[in-house]
Amino acid sequence: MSSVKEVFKISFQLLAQQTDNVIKDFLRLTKDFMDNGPNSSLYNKAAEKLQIDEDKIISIVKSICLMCVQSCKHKLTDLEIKESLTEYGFNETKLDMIILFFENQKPYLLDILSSSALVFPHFKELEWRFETDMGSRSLLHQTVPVVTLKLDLEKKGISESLFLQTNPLNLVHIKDTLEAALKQNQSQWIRKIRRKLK
Amino acid sequence: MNISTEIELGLKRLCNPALINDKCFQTLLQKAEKILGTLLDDTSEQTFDNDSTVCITSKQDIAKEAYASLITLFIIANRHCLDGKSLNQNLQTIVLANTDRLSEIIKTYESVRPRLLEVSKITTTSLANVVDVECRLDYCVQSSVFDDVSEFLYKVRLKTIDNGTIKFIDFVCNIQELQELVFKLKDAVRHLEKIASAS
Repeated sequence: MSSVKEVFKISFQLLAQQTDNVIKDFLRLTKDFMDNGPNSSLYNKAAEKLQIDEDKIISIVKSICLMCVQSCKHKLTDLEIKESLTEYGFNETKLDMIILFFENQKPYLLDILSSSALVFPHFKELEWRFETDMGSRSLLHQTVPVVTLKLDLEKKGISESLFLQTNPLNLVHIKDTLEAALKQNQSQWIRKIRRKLK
Repeated sequence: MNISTEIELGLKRLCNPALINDKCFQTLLQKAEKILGTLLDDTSEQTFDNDSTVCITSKQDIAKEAYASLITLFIIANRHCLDGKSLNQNLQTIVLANTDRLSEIIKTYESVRPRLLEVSKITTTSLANVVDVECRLDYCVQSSVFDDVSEFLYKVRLKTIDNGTIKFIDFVCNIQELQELVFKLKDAVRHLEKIASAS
């Protein structure tokens, strides 16, 4: 059994030998694969038309798909992709076609990849309302200031609303703490870390 | 302030030296003061200690009734936000006598009132109360999906108290999101300060 790397290599070498129009067809097949999943009747037709095994057609489609996903994962630039594909024998026009296809698919791929990554609930929106408690069963007359908060968090496109409350003193404390944390981002130490890790 | 006839009777008995002797009266007052003055206090011992109950030499059932009436009176008076003076007037009409015991009851009420007020303020239906916030700044270098992530993430943890139980709400913000959150909070604080300075 050949490794993924070998299949990838053979598929791209085979693709490089095809005419521009055939490459266009392959890119169209890949788009269909990304959008709707595998479609054997399409591959069957293509195999008959090009006189290539259906398995090889499928390998080429999957290899193009893999190339796009890996390029997204490694955040490769167009130039880097071109350089890595030249070794399979693509000419300039064919490379441009592949790059154009990749650029078109990139936003969708990034979207799918980000949503499959480890995701915490993200802050989305905060609404607040200032109220005063006027009376309760246990205390008929009172004036207790209350700040009611609606905190919206978002996780993988699903948002969740949390209803909370606090008093003015705590609100000021929360504001001060988070404001200080935000300022911390500009400190020399953080800048140094950012430079070292880039 | 409405007091039921049962409580009225209990209070009358409490102020009657023939039924509750002086020593017993003092013990009941001290017990009420201790129990109400340390309500919801984790460190206090809410259980009855036997030493003080030994001192109750009057009839047990009457002492119990008087004690329950006293506690109920304090709670109801506090609910209506009565001060010592107005409770005194109310009590005089209930007990129909002006004994020294009334002033002692009022004195005890005044001493437990701050704690009672505090407890009754928080004894209410409310949303989870945010009491504290913790924040951590992380720099995400790499993930299983992306080779190069390079972004700052603030992990924010809100500490809330919901009906006495502590819960945490965790979420993350990138720098823009935290800026927005801080902006919203600042806006809220500014409005509150405006209201406070106007009143």
